[in-house]
Amino acid sequence: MDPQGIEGEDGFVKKEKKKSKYEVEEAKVTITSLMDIMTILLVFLMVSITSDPLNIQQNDDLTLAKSTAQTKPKDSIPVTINKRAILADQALVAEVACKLGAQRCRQEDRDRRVACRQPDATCDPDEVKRLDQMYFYVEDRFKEDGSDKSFLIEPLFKELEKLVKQQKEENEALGRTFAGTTTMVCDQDIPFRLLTEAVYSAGRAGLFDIRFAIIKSGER
Amino acid sequence: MSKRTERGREVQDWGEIDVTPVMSILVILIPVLIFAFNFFEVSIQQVAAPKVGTPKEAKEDKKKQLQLTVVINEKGFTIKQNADLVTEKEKPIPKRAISSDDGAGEYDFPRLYTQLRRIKMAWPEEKTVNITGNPKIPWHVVARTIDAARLKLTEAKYDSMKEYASAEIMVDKKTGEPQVMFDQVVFAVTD
Repeated sequence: MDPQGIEGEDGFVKKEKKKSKYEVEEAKVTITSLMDIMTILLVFLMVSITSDPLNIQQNDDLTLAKSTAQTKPKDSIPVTINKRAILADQALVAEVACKLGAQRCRQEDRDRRVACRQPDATCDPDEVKRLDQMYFYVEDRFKEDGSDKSFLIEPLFKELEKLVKQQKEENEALGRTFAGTTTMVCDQDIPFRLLTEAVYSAGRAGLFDIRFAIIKSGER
Repeated sequence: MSKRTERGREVQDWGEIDVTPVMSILVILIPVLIFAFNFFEVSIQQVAAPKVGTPKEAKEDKKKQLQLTVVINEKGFTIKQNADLVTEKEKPIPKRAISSDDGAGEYDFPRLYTQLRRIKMAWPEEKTVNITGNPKIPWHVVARTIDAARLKLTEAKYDSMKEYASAEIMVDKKTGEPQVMFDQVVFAVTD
C-alpha cells in the first residue's frame, strides 16, 4: 500500500487530501491542574495569614529589630510603636514626634534616611551620621501632668486599661485566667526612653508580661 | 443538549464546566494574599516592667542580690553589680572600631557576652539582668544586648564579632533545652 494514500473500494489508491496550511486545529488548554495548584496556594496563604497573631506589615516607619530569640508570639494585646504613632490594638492613641538636632524632622530628612539605609546607597558618611541623630519621642502633652520627667503616656495607659478591663470580662465569662500579656511591636530606631515609657504605661495598666516582637535571625 | 447512548437511552450532555471566572478570581486573590503574607518569622523577647529609680533602692532586701546591670551608652557598655559583692573593678566595654549597616556592630557584643558569662560562672543562681542606659539608645542595640545576656553559647569567650555572630547556643544534653544565662530582663531607668 502506498504509504501516502488510502486504498479505495475500486482498488485505486486515493491520494489523501492535503491539509491547507491555513487550517488550524482548535487547541484546548487544560487548566484543571493549574486550578488545583491555585486552590492549594489560596488555602495555604489564608491559613498562614489568619493564624499569625501579630500579622505585622513592615514599612519605612516600622522595621523590626533582629534577634536570635526563639519564643513564638501568642495572643495578647498588641501595642505598636512606629516612627509616627503609638497604637494600642490598632487604635491610634498618641503621635510620635521626631527631632533632628534642635529642629523637627522634615519629610525629606525621613526619606533621605530611608534611602541612605538601602544596601546600594552612596550617602556621605557625615550625612548618615547627621540623620542617625534623629530622635523619636512623645510630646509632654501626652504625659502625666504634662511633665517631661513622667514615664506615663496617659492616652496609652487609658486605652490599655480599657482593653485590660474588656479582656478580663471576656476571660471571666469563658472561665479563663487573665494572663496580662502585651506584645510591643516596636520600630528598631525607637529610643530606649520611649520604650521604657511604653513598658511603664503597660505595667501601670495591669499588663506585666511584656514581650517585644523581633525578626528571628540566625546571626546575633 | 442531549445525546443518545449505544443502548438508545437519552442522556444529558452538560459539556465542560467553564472554570475561567473562578480562575480570574484566584489570579486576583493570590497576589493580594501574597502581598499580605509575611516572609519573615516573628519571635518575641520577654522583658519586665521598668524599675524607676536608682538601683541602690533595692538594698533593703535582707538577702544580698547581685543587681547585675548593663548600662548602654554612646561610648559602649558598662557592667555594674552590687557594690558589696563586686570583686573586681568595673571596666567599661568601649565600642569596637568596626562598622556595620545598622551601626550596632560598633558595640562590642562579644566582650559583653564574655564578661557576662564570667559573672554567671561566679553567680550560677542569678538570672536577672537590668538593662539601662542613655535614653537615646535605639531599640535594635537594646535587643542585641538582651541577646548577649540571655543564653549561654558554646564557647565561654569570643574575641571576634564574626565568631560571636555565628556561635551556636549551648543546649542541655538531658532536656535539649537552651541553657539560660540571664533570661529575666528588666528595663531599669535612672531618674
